[in-house]
Amino acid sequence: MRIDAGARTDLGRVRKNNEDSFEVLPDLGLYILSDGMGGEAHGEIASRMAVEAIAQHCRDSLLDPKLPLLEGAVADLGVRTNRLASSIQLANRMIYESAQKHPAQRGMGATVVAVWLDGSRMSLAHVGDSRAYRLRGGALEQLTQDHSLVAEQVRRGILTQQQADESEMQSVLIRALGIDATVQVDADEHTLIEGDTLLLCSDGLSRMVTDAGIASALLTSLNSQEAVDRMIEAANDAGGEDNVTAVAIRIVRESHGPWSRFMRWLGGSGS
Amino acid sequence: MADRKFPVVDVVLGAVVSLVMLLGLYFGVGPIDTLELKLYDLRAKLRANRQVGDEIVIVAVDDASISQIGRWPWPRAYMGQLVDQLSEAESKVIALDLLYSDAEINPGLEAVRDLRKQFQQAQSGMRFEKEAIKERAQSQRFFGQFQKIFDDTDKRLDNDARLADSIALAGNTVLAMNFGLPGPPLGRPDQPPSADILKNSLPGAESKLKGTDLDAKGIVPPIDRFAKEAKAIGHINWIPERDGAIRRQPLVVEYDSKEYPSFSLQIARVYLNLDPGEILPKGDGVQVGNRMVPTDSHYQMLVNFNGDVKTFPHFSFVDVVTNKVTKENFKGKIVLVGFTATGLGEQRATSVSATLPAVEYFANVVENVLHNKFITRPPWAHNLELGVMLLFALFVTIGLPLLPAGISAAIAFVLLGAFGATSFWLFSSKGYWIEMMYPSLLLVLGYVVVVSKRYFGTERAKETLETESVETLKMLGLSFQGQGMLDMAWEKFRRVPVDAGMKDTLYNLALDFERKRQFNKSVAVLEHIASVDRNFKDIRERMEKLRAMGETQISGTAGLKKGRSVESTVMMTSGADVKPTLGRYEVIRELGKGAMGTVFLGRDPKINRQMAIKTLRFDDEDLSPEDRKALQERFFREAESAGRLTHPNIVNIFDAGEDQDINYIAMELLDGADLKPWCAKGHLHPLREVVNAVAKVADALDYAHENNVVHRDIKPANLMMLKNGVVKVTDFGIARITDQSRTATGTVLGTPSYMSPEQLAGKKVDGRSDIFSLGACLFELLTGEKPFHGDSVATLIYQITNEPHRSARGVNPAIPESIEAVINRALEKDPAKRYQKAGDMAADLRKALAALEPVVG
Repeated sequence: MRIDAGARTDLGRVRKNNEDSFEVLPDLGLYILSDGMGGEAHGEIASRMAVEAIAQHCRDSLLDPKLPLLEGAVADLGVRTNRLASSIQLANRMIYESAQKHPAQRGMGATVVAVWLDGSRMSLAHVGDSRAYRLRGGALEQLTQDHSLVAEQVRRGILTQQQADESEMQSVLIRALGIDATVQVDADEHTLIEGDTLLLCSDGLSRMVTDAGIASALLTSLNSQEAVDRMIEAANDAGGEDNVTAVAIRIVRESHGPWSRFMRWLGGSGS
Repeated sequence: MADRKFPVVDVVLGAVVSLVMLLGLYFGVGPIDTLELKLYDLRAKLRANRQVGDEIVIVAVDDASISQIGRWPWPRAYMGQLVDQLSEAESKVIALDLLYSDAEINPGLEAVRDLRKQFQQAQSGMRFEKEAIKERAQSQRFFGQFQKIFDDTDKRLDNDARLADSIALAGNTVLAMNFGLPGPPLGRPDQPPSADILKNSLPGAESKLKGTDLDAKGIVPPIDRFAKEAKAIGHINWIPERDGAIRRQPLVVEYDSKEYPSFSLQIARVYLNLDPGEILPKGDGVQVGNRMVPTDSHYQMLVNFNGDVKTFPHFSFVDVVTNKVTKENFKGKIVLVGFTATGLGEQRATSVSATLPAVEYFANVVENVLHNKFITRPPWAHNLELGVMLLFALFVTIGLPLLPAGISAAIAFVLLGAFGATSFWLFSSKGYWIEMMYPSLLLVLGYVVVVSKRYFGTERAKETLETESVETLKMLGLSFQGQGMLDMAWEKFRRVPVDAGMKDTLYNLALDFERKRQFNKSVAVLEHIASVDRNFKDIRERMEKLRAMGETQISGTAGLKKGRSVESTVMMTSGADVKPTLGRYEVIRELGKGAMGTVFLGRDPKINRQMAIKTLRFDDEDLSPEDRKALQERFFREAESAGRLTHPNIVNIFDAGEDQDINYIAMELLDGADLKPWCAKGHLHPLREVVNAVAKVADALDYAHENNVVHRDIKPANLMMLKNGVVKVTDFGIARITDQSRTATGTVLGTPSYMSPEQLAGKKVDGRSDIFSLGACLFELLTGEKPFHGDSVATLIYQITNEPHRSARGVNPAIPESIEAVINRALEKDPAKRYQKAGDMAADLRKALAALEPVVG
């Protein structure tokens, strides 16, 4: 099993600054994406703070597994998943406290979606409307539920999907980092199989490009980076109304024959 | 306690434990019962005082007897001899704890009987003629003689007969029999008992023991010859408790619908001269004559053991038969004969001894019956146990959860001690057996469960919560530090107890602060370490160094909190021998403090020109790196545009740059002071001087505005009067940027006395805003008062934007009307009504001045 990851963030066509942040840490198997919000440059601060805090906490926890879990552990989730959720709590605390300390940062916040791979085990945690998808066998499946007002209303049957798609309230979140001292983190675990592709993206992608467009970009690209570039291009072509960020992680089926070994040797680490 | 939440879980837990133990009391729990038996034994041992009545002696077939007489079994004649001797000694009862269930195997006797048989056959086979009378008589005499010899020999060799004779002769012998116990109720027993056995049965009707463990299915009686002669026969059965020990004696066993008393009971009966019919099992006891032996419902008596082995007088069998023991020892007594020799007879585990010979066990039972020394379960025992358990349950359920740990522990201890002492006392002095285990266990278990739940559940949780929050603080602090938010990190770390690991963490934070030139904070952190460990690493020297260097910078900045006094690069170099630099400029010494930074005397080594270097810092704890960067860019942009201005009344800017987080501007070195002192009442300067200076400033502004540079912060403090009489405007564009940075991060704005209405409204400003500010300056320089003075920023802002300014002449009537007119025009709220150019204002001022000349003359 080999991981091929690609990531990029783009300003989009409308916004003046990029409030998205991402962190790709293949050595940890950790992939984080965050979409900031708040006036001036504070969205960027929040999202940057989120990805850095999460990365740091997860890395620290590998050195010192006894680090406390913020907001406690969920019994039916594994250590890594709990840790990931805890790191998001930590990020939330940092953003929240920073905003409390600095009046100008009031209202700054961020979404986050993060996966932590451990072999074929995948820990997934998210807050907000940044999404994680899994492409398996050609079918694209959304692994996360948006914590947005309209998504919640659709879930509750108040709105139809069509009404939601047309709503002006699309960007109103019901959960985000930095708004309160604690945040409810959605955490989950999945098992990956070779050939799966994971996609983390900000709403700038998921609102601009259809699922079919995303699936086709993922399926027809040679590698993750190309897929990411194509998706961002598609989002910008569709208007690029928001910052666009995507992180694609492909679980590559690795053949162990002499030919493929030779090809890998030829291509360095391969594509 | 009153405000504590009612501990529902604790109460439920206590109730559950109580209920379980109460149910245990009713239904019995094996292991607990075993524990109770151990406690019973403990109490029994305390009670055993070896004080026994003198009715009973024991004749023991002991090791000495075996070694002198020979291996068991002995010929039964020996026992006959003993019985004879005891009988002769006038023993009251002779009790043989020996099971003679089969006739003795005697090869000699059988040989003799065989011979006699053949002899008789030989005799009957003899045929004599009628006439041979003489021979016949002779032979008859001969045979008769032999017959007698045979009879004598037979009699001599028949040990059973010998013993039977002795038993018959003594007439007071009690024998033992054994029943097959426990017998399942299989119907009729294997064989009906013989009449001799049957006569030992009790006259009672249907026995309630039928179908119980004490309903025998088989019987091992003594041989008929003995049974016929015995005064009484009793059973020697016993039923072990769950731990294998014997604490009870079944006084009655049922066999074939008849009840048979035990060996010991028979001994007592014979001793008391009672008939078999005078033993009456009834209720929870057995009546023996006129005394009542208390038992359980199955007529089992709790044996009150008087002591370990040899509590009763002991005589060795061999000593008795060889007449070494005087007869007085046996006169009128119960003599129990049994085994004590190693490997012979039964040895029983009892409360007092693990190996009590059976004969001594029986002696104890007999003694108990004769002396009414019983261990009983009084009728109220059960109620007492129940009551105690309910009390304990109440304590465990209600008391424990509500009382503080210390008090509840004391109460539990006292309750347990009182109950234990009472039950021990009742047992040892009254022979009352109270079940201790269930109540004690209820208390102990309930206490342990509830208290440990409380400890682990709440006290431990609190503890982990505390350590966790410390860990969390540390974690948050490290995260903040990792992202360069040192102040927030310090805020967290300060609340963490300083342990060994923390010292290193703090030390690193101090270094980070030092690196960021926040030396005061660095010192504060080091002081925090020093409060725990004064000698940690090099903190003492480091603190000294930081302080010493800080002091040289601190002059006149006592009121400043944010540590701007130490932002000089001086701090970054450890020795005084190296000239500190800022950019390419050498820093020579501090000149003074500005609003946003320190002003140093600097030197450009290239052209050897002295200059003022003004440092600026954007409070990094209040600004994100992005904000800072944006501000910096604007600062350089403004500095650059200001740098393009070359005017005799504008301070020359040579350079601007950034070095190690410090932004600086290199500018013309001025020898003079700002106009702030000119505004003090009583120190007002002459009108002409003031107006001339202001006109010069207006010229400078006009030039700047022409070049599209707006000052934005014209105030007396930014107007310098040099010693050579030249006035210069300083800080073009700079103060404004810094103000903006501070408003952006929420710092409170200084009093905006000179700001124009449009500036306060946050609109885009142009040169006319500077004209308003200059008008305000002129007003103050001439009157010593500000044109607007609200007592708060809010009222001031309101006045500037809404209310007309005061009349200058109203404050200082010496001001000419023409000058006041200039002031009024400069202070118009609407920029369109003001001077549109600063040059116009300068011209008007000069014109007014010229018009005044004759008067001043």
